[in-house]
Amino acid sequence: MNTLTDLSLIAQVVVSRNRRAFDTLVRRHQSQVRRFFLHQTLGDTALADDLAQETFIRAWLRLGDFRGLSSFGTWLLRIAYNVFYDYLRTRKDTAPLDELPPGGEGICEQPSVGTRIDLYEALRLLRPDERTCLTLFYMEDLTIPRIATVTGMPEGTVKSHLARGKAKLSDYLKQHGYE
Amino acid sequence: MNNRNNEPDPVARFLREQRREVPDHGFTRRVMHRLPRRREHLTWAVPLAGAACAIGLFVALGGFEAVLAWSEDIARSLLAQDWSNPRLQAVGILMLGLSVVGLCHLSSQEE
Repeated sequence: MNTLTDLSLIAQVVVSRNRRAFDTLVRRHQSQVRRFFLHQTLGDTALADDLAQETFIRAWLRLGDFRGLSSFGTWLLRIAYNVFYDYLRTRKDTAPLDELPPGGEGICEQPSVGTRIDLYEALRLLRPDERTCLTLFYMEDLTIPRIATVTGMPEGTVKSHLARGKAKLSDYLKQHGYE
Repeated sequence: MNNRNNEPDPVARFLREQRREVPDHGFTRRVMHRLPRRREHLTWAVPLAGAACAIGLFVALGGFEAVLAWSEDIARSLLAQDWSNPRLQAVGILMLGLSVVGLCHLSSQEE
């Protein structure tokens, strides 16, 4: 159980720029933010960590703008989503992300039950928006309205991305004997 | 735990099985090391410099003597109940203003 809520830690950071309070917030939310980037970058751990660091630095600079309308985790994911799409825009002229080889470090190995299917190979089949919606929905347990808040997409668009991404993944899993 | 292993939808089951917590491994330390500090220093430096200047001017322009003179004058007027003293009136207005600000602050805290 966390002794201090996110809101009280945020208040300490906003009022007195308390770095220790921000340290606690980073420690508490780093897993979710880094996992988000790992999924979007198809397991590139170095890139995911760089983008996650950028996310927390932006959060530090803009924490005064946090209004508590959503949870701090959702607010962070909104920043993370913007950081990722800023990154995609800057590398538009270079190789598309889907052509990058997936990272091969420890936490990227994702053996599944019965047959060995790599998560990132499966996610590679999806378009970035489909990947974002599917991972936020199934892996971060965000509701469709929350995903709409994070991505800025209308709820109908989120539902479309979910349906299309799910159909692609379902075919892939069937081909690999996953039932 | 939950019944995720009994999830009938294979896509949902597959993705939820893959969810892993990412260990910190020094990540938080690296973030804290990269946080910008300059703005924080400036935030403290400006009021500090302002306060130092104000204290310097107060001493240089004989602030202590003026305060003592005013205090004596106001005390004498109070003892003599001479309300026409402009210094006493000024202090009264100042105290009234501070009281109003204090009451407003208290009421906003209660809300």
